[in-house]
Amino acid sequence: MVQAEDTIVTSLENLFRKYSLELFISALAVTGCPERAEDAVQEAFYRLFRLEHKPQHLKAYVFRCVRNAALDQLERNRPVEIKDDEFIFDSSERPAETAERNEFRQEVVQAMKTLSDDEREIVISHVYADLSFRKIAKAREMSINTIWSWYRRGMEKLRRQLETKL
Amino acid sequence: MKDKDLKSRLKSLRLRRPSSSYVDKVLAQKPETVEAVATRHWYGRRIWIYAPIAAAVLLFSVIGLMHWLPRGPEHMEVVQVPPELAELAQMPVEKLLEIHFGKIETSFDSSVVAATVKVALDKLSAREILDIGNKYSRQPRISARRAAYHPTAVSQVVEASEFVVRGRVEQVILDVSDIKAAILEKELDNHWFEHHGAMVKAEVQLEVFEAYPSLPALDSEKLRLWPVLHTRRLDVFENGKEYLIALQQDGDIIWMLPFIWGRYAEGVYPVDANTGMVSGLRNGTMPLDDAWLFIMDLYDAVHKGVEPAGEVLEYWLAKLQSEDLTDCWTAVEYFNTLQPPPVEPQLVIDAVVHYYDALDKNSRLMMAQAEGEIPLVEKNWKALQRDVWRQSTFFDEATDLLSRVTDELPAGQIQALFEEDLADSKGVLSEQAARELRSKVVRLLHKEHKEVHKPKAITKQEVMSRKEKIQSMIDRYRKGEKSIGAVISVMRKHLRAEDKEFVPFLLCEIVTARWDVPVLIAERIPDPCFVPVLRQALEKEVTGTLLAALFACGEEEEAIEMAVTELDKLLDEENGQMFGEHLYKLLPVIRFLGTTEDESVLPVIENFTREDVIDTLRETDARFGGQYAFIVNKLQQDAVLALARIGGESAIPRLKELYESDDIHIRILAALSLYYLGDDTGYELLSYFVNNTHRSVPEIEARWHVDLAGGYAFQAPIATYLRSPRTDALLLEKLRHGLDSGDTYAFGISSFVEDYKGQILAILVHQLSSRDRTTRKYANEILKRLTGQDFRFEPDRFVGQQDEVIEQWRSYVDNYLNEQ
Repeated sequence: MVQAEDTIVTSLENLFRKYSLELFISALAVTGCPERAEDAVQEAFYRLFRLEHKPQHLKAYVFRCVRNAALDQLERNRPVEIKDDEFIFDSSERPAETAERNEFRQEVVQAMKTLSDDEREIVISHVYADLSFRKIAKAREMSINTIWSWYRRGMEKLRRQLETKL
Repeated sequence: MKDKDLKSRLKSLRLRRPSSSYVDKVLAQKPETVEAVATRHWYGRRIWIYAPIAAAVLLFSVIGLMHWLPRGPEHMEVVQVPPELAELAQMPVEKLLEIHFGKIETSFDSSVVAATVKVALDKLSAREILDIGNKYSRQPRISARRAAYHPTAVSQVVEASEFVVRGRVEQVILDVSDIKAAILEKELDNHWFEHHGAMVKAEVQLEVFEAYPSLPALDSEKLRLWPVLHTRRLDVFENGKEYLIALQQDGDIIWMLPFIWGRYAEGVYPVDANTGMVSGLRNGTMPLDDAWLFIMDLYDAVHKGVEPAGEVLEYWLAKLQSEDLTDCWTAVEYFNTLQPPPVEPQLVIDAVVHYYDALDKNSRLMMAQAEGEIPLVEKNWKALQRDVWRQSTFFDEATDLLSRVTDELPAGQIQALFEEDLADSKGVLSEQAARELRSKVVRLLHKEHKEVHKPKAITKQEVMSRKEKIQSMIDRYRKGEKSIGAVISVMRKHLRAEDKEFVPFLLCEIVTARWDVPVLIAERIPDPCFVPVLRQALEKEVTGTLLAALFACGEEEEAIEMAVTELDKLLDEENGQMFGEHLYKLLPVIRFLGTTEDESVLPVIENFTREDVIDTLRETDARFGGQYAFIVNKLQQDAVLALARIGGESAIPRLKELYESDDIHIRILAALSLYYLGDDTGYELLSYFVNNTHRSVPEIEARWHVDLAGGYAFQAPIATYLRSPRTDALLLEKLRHGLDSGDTYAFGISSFVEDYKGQILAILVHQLSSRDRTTRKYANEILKRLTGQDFRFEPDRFVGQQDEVIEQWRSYVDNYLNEQ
């Protein structure tokens, strides 16, 4: 059934406008570098806009493409070391922010470093990109149970390390 | 710290933002020309297939309309409907039904009314049809109202299920075709309710998002369930809503757990799409992530015996110490599935004490409200009642957990803990709950002296010989210490044909005084000396048991002739009571004829299997108010069984015809009869029972919800009337697959138990480890009944938690069988 109004480009544009930040964060979780994350999203959408058929689960498909593009970025470039106080977080100075808050952010970044790549990526995708486990599982073409166990292990590690700060 | 706290703290951190040109850069890559692209919905193929058909239908509809549309005065005359029919067709459906059910007198022909009702029913929704069924039934048992109930423990639901899914309901179709037919046939008063109870078949289509442990292989992404819904739980599914659902699978059929009123919920938990909270669990709502994790961990513990370690254990210990009742309760429930629960007693004690205080506070509030001291609005009052129920239930389960972890706890400490609560001095608990608590505490206190239950010692009675047992019982009867019933019971168990010394006692004292003495004579001690006394009794009243005794004592032809004469007697069609009594007497006479092996009576028996004969009896019964409908049905059922016993292979063609009956009970009995005669035509139907899936098979479940559980349709005929090596094997196989209350019936039949005691006891011990709670319960009950022993097995404990008791049963049964 042809739906004239619902073209794939329009759908992709709407989806991007809605989830631009989440897509960026997902890519950032893989690359660790904001510039490379932006490049990955841009590259993914270049390919997506030229698709002939609309995929069945568009959102999951787009996130998978972005992740693949981010992984390509990693392969093509040297890995970026995660800095102590930023990673995916905004460390620019704000007078209103307390030292305690800054310290907490640094603790979180440190704790994130102890996670495996998969654990870190799943935690970020779920907590910051608001992706459900089902969507993450579809995007990564893995079983929901695996995703869930990575998330759980990741959160457990974070909990242990941040216990005193909460 | 809970997951949701950690998550919200993490989310409070500000994220890095992409550069200001990020959005523009990405969107700048859009191609310049835009083409329409087909959307591939899952139903795409179906729509393409049906589109031409739909177009053709539309075309023909238009042509039809063109033909029938009024085109002038001449045409109006051609299509004019008779005025009385037009009047009927325009009547409101309520009035039409009043006419149909004879509440309003009318000159319309009943078949015309029925046809109009059919058209009207076709336009009504499933729920409206259910309401009509309810309105016109003599004993309303169905209702589309939503039922309030206390949710079953999630761990029990998980234990009963094979997998759990999260999915969105796309379609719910209630199948009320049976009810519609019953309304049209005006059979709501007897046949319909007897057969349909309060269950409705349905089809539910789900889009599955996730499943644990895994989804069975499906033809499409959509999951089709074939649930049988309780009519008071019709709203359990709503279109477009998301749910967590516990499911089972039988071949190609996936079904929900059955809803058993007052005992068991079906394991369907709605997920709120806006808040992500799951409701229907035991204490209010829960975040989806927590609920899913809870279910997965319960599944791992109950089905795979996974012991928590490291992070999982820490997670649940943290929940146990939570201030939140839901968290604490889920932890208690989780730990209760483990053996042994890896929890420090003090943690459980803290939880118990904490919530006992909360329960105390709420109970005082309830009492104050009841006495009018604090007026609460209805909504708050209900919320308070709900809270008290939840807290009491939690308290109950937490004390259970405590009793399982306090092996090392000194009695003094427990005594101190419950010093006040032993008497429930705060009056918090109901009388029953207080009693249960006291018994739990007593159990805790005595745990220190935990003793292994030993088999009962052998009594003096047990070492007596058969004859000594009977004589002893007669002596005690004569002294007034025992009833005559007790003597008969012992005789039915121990008397043998050669024990002639007891004949005078039977002749003098009781030969016709009780209904079971003729049975005793026929089964145990048939002797010609009883013939005069039996004839004397038969002159007063002809009964099936007296005829069987006369037959067994040697007067075969006389007994058969009397039986056939009795069946030929005309039924009294003027007096309802006489009609009913006569019908009732015919049942054992038919059963008796079935045992005679005299093929000449075959036509007499076959007559009672005929639909037209039974329908005539039903019509007569309907004139007396339909109160003997059950006996009329039973007459046909007994005739089917008698046909199999008497007819041998010559009965097979007629039994195959009966297997095609619309009546599911007749079909089951015909299938059993055929199997008894060596024909496997109905084996597919019987396999539902053998595999213990009858609770899940929609057709049988919908029609036989209650009766199946009683063993009336399956176990009883096999164990008593149609015994053969084939049917015995069928019954034993059924026990290997599971047990239910109906199996207790089979074990009341001593000959079956005697013949297979070794096998039966071994199966029962094995079934103590079944995953099915009902099977564990009846395996334990029947073991106790057959051996007279009780090793304090608790069927409500999860599998794997009572290995010690099961081992005791196993070794007892091994010894018992060796001695035998």
